[in-house]
Amino acid sequence: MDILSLFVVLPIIVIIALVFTNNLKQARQIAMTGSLIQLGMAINLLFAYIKEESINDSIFVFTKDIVWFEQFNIHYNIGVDGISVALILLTSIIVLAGVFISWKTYDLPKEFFISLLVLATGVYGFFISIDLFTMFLFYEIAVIPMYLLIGIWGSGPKEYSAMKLTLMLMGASALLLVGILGIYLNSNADGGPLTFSILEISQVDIPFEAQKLFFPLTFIGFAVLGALFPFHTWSPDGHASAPTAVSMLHAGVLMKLGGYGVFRVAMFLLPEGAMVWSWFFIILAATGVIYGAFAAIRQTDLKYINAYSSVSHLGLVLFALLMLNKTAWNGAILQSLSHGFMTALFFALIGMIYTRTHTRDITKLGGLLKVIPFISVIYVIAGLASLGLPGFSGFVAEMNIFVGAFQNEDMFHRVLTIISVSAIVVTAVYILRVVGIMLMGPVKNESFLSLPQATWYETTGVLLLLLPIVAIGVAPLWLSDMILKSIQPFLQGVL
Amino acid sequence: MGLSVLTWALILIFMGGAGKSAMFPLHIWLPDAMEGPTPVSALIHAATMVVAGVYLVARLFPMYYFVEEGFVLNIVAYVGAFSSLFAAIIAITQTDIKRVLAFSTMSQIGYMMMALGVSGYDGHEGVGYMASMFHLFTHAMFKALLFLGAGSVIHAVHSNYLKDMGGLRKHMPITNITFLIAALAIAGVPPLAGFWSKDEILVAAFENNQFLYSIGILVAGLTAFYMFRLYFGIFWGKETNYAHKPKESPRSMTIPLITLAIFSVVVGFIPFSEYVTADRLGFVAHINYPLAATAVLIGLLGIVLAWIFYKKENDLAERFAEAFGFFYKWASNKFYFDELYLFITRKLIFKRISAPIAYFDKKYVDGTMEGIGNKTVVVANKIKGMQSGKVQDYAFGFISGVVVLAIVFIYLWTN
Repeated sequence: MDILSLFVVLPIIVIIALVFTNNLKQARQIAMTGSLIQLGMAINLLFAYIKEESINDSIFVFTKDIVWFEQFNIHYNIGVDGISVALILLTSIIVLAGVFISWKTYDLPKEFFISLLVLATGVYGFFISIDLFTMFLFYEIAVIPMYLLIGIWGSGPKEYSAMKLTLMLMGASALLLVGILGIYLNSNADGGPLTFSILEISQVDIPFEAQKLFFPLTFIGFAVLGALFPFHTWSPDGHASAPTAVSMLHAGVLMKLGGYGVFRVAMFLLPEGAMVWSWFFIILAATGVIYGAFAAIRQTDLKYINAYSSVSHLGLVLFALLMLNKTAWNGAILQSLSHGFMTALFFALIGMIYTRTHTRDITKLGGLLKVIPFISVIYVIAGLASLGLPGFSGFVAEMNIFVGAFQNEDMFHRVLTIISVSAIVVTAVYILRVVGIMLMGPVKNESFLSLPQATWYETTGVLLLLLPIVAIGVAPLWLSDMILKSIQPFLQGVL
Repeated sequence: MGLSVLTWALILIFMGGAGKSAMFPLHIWLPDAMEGPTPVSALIHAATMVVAGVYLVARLFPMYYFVEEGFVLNIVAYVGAFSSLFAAIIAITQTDIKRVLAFSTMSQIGYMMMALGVSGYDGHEGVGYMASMFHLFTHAMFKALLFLGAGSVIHAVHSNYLKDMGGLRKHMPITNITFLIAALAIAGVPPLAGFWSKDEILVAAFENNQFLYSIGILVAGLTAFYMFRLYFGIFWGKETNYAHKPKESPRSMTIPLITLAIFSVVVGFIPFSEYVTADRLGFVAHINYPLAATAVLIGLLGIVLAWIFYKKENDLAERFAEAFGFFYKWASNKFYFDELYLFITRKLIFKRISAPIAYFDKKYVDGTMEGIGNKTVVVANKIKGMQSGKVQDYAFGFISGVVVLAIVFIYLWTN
């Protein structure tokens, strides 16, 4: 078994093991062990990649190619570069943290962890695929369990939210499928067989007309998952209804699939289409950045605040990708990672606050810093990271994005960059507003005085997420070097 | 606007520095940050954080000086001078002693900015730059001393307000003496530290821009006045009946006071101009006796006025406040800048931008998506009648279909 396929196979083995468990204790132990092994594998992959990358200068390493469905030339074709390695590491950390945070899932624990791991399988598969069809398949595998996870273990209008989320993402998938088939049908410019292989297609000149037609389909198809304005409305409702671990995985990992797909497929295979359309999507992305931030100010539900904050932060990822230069792309990938850890941390903390106080309405909370200091302090740290304080990962990412964006010298890019930069200030407003109302001030409810402190599993989950935020913030260079090297081959198309 | 990118960049950097250094109109955070504990206030306001903006401009001074012949530097000078006057006027009207000190800090930093703004580059031309850094250095000593002294007083009387204080010189001798030294230093009385640095600033202003010099000298007088208003108000003035008899603070608080007081006396004698200059070459600074004498006289005048107003309990101050009625109220409310900011944030951003966006998102963006979903259901409801389950309906549909297709085919065939 090769090092990459293991990422898909291991969750399946864990799922099979989970089928034979019959209580919460067994289920969570197996899920934890499985996720722990995955984290170990991801770290191992990181080191293996660094070693391999120094002697092997192809775009993807550890590649493997098995013919799967010969008639359509579909392959099980896998391989990774620095970007996917980093995202796999992100996924493994968030899955493990998610398992810790769901330590006390009393309702149908077995089924819960199974769904969670199916989702993880889809995500890992997506990140290792370099065949369009396999990629799309795993993408769908990742989206479907979300419906069950929200619909069954959610809260509030959970069926409605689950339906909305799934339908909107399915609608996006339909566009994406057309886009991918369009690329496929134009992949034999020199008369050879049609192919789904990303590497082979990147060598082909897809006709300009086809690029112009299929770029927006592919872009929107992926970007809906990246909360592109105005297709973001599934996200606040979805997050609000989802159980904690699902919100974490969803915002932390699943929404990253959007940006990653845009980068890997839309930008790489349809660079001319990207250049034609970029102005239009830049406007949408910049609108999302500023709009999400302002909408977040007005919310009172913690999860809605964070969901709109994600719209704003992920808008920046798309914004940076559309800037079509190295620095901005580096920033986009870093922002994906940084937002992944940060938002997962936020949702974990919100979940912890909710299980204690049974409300997510900030106007009903107050003075939490006095009663649950650990959770509150971490919340403040996560907030500071989110508003881009130097020393945390958000700063590194945003710095790269804005410097890269400003390298485009025309008025259009500059004005939109300045508008997007101003969202940082708005971010500070909604973060500090929550800190001020919820954590500071008098304790509003007598019953809050006896709230329990964070338990060991909650602490572990939270620290797992905090560590990378600080690590990236303090020492970003090794990561950014790895990403920059991987971006290099992708730049040729747009230069 | 016909300015180069570099000029805009320098203006923006200055604006960033102005925000950090509490220059008008980005000053409103500073007095409110007074809610922090006194040692923190001392650190923020006196020595380190708040002068970062001045330091930033000073670090980039060659750029400010040479780009567009110092156009941005002029902005720096006027913003500094205005902030300094503005803050000094507000300081006279405040009753919370820490707020007086906060506005005093803003005023002194305005002084430093002004000095940078009027400075030249080569040799003695760069006296403004030198004076600015010198004042930054000496100001740190006596302002930290003033804050810690205020902390000592607040610790003793459990109040921040001047009305709860008075006659403390008998109860707190060490705090009294050290506070007096700091107040004399900031008022520019020789030979204390503030005299030397302030004198250099005024020299620089006099040599480059007489108008700014006149503002500077006015602010010097106001500084002396409000500082001694504070001093007399706390340590002299009316004998307040204290619920708990105030006593001198413990040694952990008085030792820092004494240390800083010593520094406030001696640091002025450091030949600063030999080490810190704009062009990195030292020069020897000379005292300009007429200017120094004017500054000292103005300072003494301020002290004397404060002495008349506040040494003994009297109603002179109240009568003056009434005479200036409107203006006094305006100044004591900090010229309503807090209200302006609250208007912008609460009324404009929160109510006029944020709330409509949230509404728009729910109602229209999400509404459209909902609408698509609902329409699908409506259409489904409309056409579900076709699946009636009645064999007769299906047979009818089937036969009609065959007939229609037959007609179409025959039509096509015959053509």
